Amino acid sequence: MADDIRASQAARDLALGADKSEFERIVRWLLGNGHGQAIGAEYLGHSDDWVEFGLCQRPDLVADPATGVIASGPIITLLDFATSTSTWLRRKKVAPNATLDLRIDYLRPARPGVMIVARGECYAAKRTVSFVRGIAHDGDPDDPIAHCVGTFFNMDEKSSV
Amino acid sequence: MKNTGMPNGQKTVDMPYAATLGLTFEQDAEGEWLAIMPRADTLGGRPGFVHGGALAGMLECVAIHKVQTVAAPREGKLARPINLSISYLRGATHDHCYAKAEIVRLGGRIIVVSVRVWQDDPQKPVVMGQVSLMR
Repeated sequence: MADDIRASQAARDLALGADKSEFERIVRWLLGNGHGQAIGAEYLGHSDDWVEFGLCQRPDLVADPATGVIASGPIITLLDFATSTSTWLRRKKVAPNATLDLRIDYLRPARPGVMIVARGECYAAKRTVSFVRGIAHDGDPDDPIAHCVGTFFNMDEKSSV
Repeated sequence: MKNTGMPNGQKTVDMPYAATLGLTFEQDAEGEWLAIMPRADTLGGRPGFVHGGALAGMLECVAIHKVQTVAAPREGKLARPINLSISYLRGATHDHCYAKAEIVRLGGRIIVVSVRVWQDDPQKPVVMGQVSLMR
């Protein structure tokens, strides 16, 4: 845990500069620990204002053995990760944040066996709160399985509340 | 302990993902179901706290379980969430989480369930959410 805190402190102090690979390094570390590691979340890519993470479906992530469809929980976790880290890109700094609220709509069940992709985007970052949206799909972004909107509290701006 | 069982005669709901979260269900003296998600390193988010996604996953499993306790499954399938609206009220520290669900509306196909998750004080929920499910 001490290592976690030190790494998190290092992440907090890092301002996202020209070096895009630094963001990738930090999110790979994040996904490789705790609940991200437990569900097998992985980094796929990012740009100036979006990130994409992936998840391979596994039998232990299934909601209902009768259908074999992946539970929505791991999909939310992936969307939570993707939208949370997208705020760092918009704010151009890596800083801890806390989910304030999240609304997810499930459009259809995921096709069993295929990789789930979650794409998160921060469309507005204010001083205290960042506003995000995201989709999850199983191959075709135009045919999403889930859509989400949410807000995050920027914890580096504690003095503002 | 009074065990009212479930309409379909099941004692538990078979949800592999709920088992992955370590989620268990027990009935209190009034027959009300209490969900418990024990502290686990596999549920960690930012250092010292439970991941928001794990809490959302717990919330959904608890909602699905609640539906199973009041209505027989359609075609042998569990109810499926349509949407989930979740408010994170306090940071959930790296410890056990408890939850109870309440049916807001029980329709023929659509069921709305409200879920409250807390840690040491039931009066101080860490997460509250509403789940709409289809069966």
